[in-house]
Amino acid sequence: MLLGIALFLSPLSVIPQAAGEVNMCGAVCPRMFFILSPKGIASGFVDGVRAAWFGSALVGLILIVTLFFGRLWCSHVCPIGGASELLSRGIPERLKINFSIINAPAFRYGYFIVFVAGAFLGIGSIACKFCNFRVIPFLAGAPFVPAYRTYLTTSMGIAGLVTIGLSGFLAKGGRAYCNLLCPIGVLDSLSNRLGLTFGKRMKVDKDKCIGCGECKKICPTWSISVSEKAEIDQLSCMPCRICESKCPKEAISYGKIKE
Amino acid sequence: MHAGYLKTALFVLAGIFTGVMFAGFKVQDYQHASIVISKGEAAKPLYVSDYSGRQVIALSAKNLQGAKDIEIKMDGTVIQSWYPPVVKMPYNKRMDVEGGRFRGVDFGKRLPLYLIADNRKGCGEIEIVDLSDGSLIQRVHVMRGDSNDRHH
Repeated sequence: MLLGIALFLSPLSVIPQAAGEVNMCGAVCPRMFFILSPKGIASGFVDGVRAAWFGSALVGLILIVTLFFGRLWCSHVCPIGGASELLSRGIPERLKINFSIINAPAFRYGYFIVFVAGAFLGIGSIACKFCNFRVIPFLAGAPFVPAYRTYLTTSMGIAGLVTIGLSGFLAKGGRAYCNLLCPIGVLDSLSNRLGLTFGKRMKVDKDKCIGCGECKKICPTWSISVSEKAEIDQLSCMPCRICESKCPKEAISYGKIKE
Repeated sequence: MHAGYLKTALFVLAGIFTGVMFAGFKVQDYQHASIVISKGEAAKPLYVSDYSGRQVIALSAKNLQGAKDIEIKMDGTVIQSWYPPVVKMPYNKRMDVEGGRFRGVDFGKRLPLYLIADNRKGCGEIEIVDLSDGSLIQRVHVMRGDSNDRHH
């Protein structure tokens, strides 16, 4: 996670600079290219891939890796989700908001419909508004770059900060934005579900599980439910393996589900 | 069973509602606009809101002309960009930036700019100049009134 932050965010921006950018916007933006364009779906997609060539290639790579190994990008590399999670660890638990009452996959796909089709349907575009791929890199670069401070002190920047603050830093587990609003998370969770029969995922050994619920308490994406035994929702799980380390019976592991 | 479907449907609707709220969110002091930099073509005017306080226009300017060294300026505004990088990597041989002056701008490159105006009144003009000979590449009129903040 720290490596992801160092590689993608200011002051180094090692990877964005390889694409001629300095942050996660422009050619590196991984979110714009699949938005349906009112000018034409196919031509809009081609234009979007051309403009955000690095971001679209990155998303393609993420989805392929996820298919075989689970959502490793989200859990181990993503600098944005990673920064949210790390910062949230410094905030006392009693101050955090628990979003786990929300059915995350249902909410996420509802939001995603508007994200992808909002401009096309004339509702309006979400795009960069409230985008954590904008706000967090800008926060990281704000001590060095006046333009970032300019954005963050506008009403739009403040609204973005509040959104990321509530759904990131102040959320239990620090991953509510990832789980509810991130469009890449939506695609990635579908890829995670698609590769379930042949890819590696977090899994529960029902013979060992005693249903104590320790895993459920610490899951940052609230993807574990426990009735008699623990169940992992593969539409939300990212293999951070925190549950594996906390399970007193070593009932949770990472590997192929059907062996 | 039915309660489960109903709960799922309610959360899908909550997601859609949140999306619609976000999509419709607008503020007075910040707006997006995009222009195409091309020589000799009359540019479409930009419309910005009537807000009289500090206003930031996030301008995405796509370079579709040959000059690689260009200056973008507008009277009464400060122009900022998030280029250059804080620590320039040795493999990054691209654009150099100083204020509104960009050197080595590739054809097709989008320049992200912030135009910051404090208590500006009336209309204005963005001038795009070829730094190699000082000639004017394009002039874009900035009008007040209905915004055209269609997002890029």
